Amino acid sequence: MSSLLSSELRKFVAPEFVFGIGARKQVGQYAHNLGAKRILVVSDAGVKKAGWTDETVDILSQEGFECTQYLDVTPNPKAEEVMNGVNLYNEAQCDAIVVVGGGSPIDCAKGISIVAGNGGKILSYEGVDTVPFPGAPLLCIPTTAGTAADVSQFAIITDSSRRNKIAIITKSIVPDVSLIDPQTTLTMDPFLTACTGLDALTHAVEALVSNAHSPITDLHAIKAIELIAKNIEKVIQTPDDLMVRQNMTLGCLEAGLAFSNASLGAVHAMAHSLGGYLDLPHGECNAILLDHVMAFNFKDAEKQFDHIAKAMDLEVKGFTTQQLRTSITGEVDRLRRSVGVVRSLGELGVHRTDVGELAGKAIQDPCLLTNPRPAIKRDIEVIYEEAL
Amino acid sequence: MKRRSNKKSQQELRDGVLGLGQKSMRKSYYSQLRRRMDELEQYRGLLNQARDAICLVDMDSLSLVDCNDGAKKMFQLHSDKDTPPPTLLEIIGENHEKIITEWLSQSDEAKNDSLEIEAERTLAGGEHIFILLSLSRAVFADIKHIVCVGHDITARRNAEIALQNSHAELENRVKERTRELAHSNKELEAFAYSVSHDLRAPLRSIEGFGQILLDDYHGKMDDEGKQYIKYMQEGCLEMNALIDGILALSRSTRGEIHIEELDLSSLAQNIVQTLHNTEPERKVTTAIMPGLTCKGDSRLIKTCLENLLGNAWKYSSKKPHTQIDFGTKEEDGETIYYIQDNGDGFDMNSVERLFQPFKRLHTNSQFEGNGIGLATVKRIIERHGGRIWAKGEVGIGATFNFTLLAAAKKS
Ligand SMILES: [Fe+2]
Repeated sequence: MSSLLSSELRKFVAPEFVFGIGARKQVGQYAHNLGAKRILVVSDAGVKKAGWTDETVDILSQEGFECTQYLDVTPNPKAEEVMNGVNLYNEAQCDAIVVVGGGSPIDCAKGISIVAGNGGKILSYEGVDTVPFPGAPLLCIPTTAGTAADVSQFAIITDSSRRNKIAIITKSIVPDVSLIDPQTTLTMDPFLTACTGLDALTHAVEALVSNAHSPITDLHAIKAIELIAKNIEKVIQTPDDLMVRQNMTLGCLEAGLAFSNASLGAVHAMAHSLGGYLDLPHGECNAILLDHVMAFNFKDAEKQFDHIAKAMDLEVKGFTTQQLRTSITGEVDRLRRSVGVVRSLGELGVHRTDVGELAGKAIQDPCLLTNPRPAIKRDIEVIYEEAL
Repeated sequence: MKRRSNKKSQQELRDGVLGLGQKSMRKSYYSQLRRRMDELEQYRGLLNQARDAICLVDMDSLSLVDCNDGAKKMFQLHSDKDTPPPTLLEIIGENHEKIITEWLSQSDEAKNDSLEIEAERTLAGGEHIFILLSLSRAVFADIKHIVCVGHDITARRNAEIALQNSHAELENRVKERTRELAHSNKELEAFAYSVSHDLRAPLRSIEGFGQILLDDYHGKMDDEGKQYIKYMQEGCLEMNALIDGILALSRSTRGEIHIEELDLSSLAQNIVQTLHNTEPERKVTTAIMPGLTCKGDSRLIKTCLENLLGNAWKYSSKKPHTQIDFGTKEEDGETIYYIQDNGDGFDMNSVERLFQPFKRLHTNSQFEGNGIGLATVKRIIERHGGRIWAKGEVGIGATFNFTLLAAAKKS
């Protein structure tokens, strides 16, 4: 465990959360706590099909809440989807939002919450610390163990007119309550399970090596890496094992608590750029980029990489720095291939000619502010090229 | 320099990412809540400043939910946690139940209409107040409410009552004066009647003894004396006619009138015949429309025609050939009777004096008369609900028009 390197302040914000099997069924009580009467239930077609949305609506209806469902949310939620949700929220005179789903519905719900409480257009809140007033009360039931959007201060919204993803980063949008129930992750298919697991691993790694990490975030990040490294292959082999699912879900939560407070790094900066430019799945992009960025960052956060090796249970005694780096990045690369995420960026359709523009956007991303090694545009281009 | 400011903004951005930005440092529901509560307190303060009563009432149970200080004062409400809140009807009076129930059951489109009621209350101190209540519907927190605003209109109402009282008093006074006036009018008429009547007897003895003087003392008087007695007798005749006129005028406004169907044509014919008999030497042509009828008092209408036809006869005496017409015409659905002559007429500038008693347009040397006839005619016509007016031109003739409300149409 490292001590604080500077006299900088550190802050830790987390929502009230309930973790465990059956946690989702507390939704009625928590909706009462938020003083709600009419609730906008945000979800998407896949989650609805799996039955989680209807179950939540049933519980809320039995408790006497009026529910309005909003399901028109796509992966990488668009600004207009947020604004449509805001209109529905206002039309139905809602006073709280319950979101059931993965990262996309949660980010969309965060957007609706911001605009419902502050007015205006969602794209005008792009950037850091831009939301002046608390948004509409937001209660999350995450159904994918990965993004940890249900505990984080991040919302990523796609501006389809500019082919760009905008990041809204502020403690104002940390949800009010999260009901984290491992059972909901049972319905994820193997590839989605792998991608979200690797996204969570990226969160933990980036938070751990972040130049804004702290003893508290380290605690969560290290625990997250341990849990994910130990369980990610098992969850692919035995997807119905609830204990394994619970470990993965806990790993994702720990990673979320870490990155929401220590922030992220170059992997996410570059993945955001890819997601906005080519609408590529977030988790897969992270997985492909992770070992390349770790190699790039290694010498600026050696001490933190020691923790990573330990957490991944790697035998590194007596290793040189070079050996340590190769061992860790090798293990990360092996894990991703082992869980079935084998494509390169090139295979996803990224061309060498795209690299310049991708790097240009990534260099603007606020995630880069906490990357341990300062990067210039050329550095980013090189990493993209390595991952092609 | 530029690089440094860039570095500074990068630092600010990084602080924001770490949750140390100004806006997220400020984020707190408590400060928001405090602000809203201060606003609410401010609103309540404003509501309590109002002298009007403002009450919030639950629509289903009609029980009072909340009210301002004005309402507590106006309705003498005491907040007491142990007793249930009063209902709207208890506050404003049970007698308004029906109108409120009706208003609440109105159709959807009428639901924006507010209801205005006037209520009265006697306060504990004995003061009686009038209140104008305005009720409207409102939904707060999904619950239907009635907002009831009460405005004290005691001062206005008292002023209205005072005004009504003084109106009534004024009316009484006018009635009393009218009664007094009618009484003295009657007395005056009775006086005129009895005076005129009582004057006849002495007048008759003056005239009679004058005649005896002329008959029995014919030889004992010189011619001058006889002439004086003649003047005296002429004066007696003149006075007698004056008394007749005053009596007719008096009769025209006194006593009951008996309405019956009258044959005006033959009535006029008789009068004209009588006039012919008095002056058979005059060349007079009369054209009386046949079949003229009316409803009226025979005695009074006869007086009326006698005067009008008599005037026509009299004031055309200087013409070598007199023409008198009596008939009717229809104007605006109204029957108008007219009596027209080709006599001396009159100056229209003096038309107003025509119907006033004792105001003659001509001197006695021109035409004989006492100026009572037309005044009498006017009173008779008016007693029959009609009106009379005249047109004349000096040297050409005069036309008298009149209507009778009860006039029968020409058959
Ligand atoms: Fe992520």
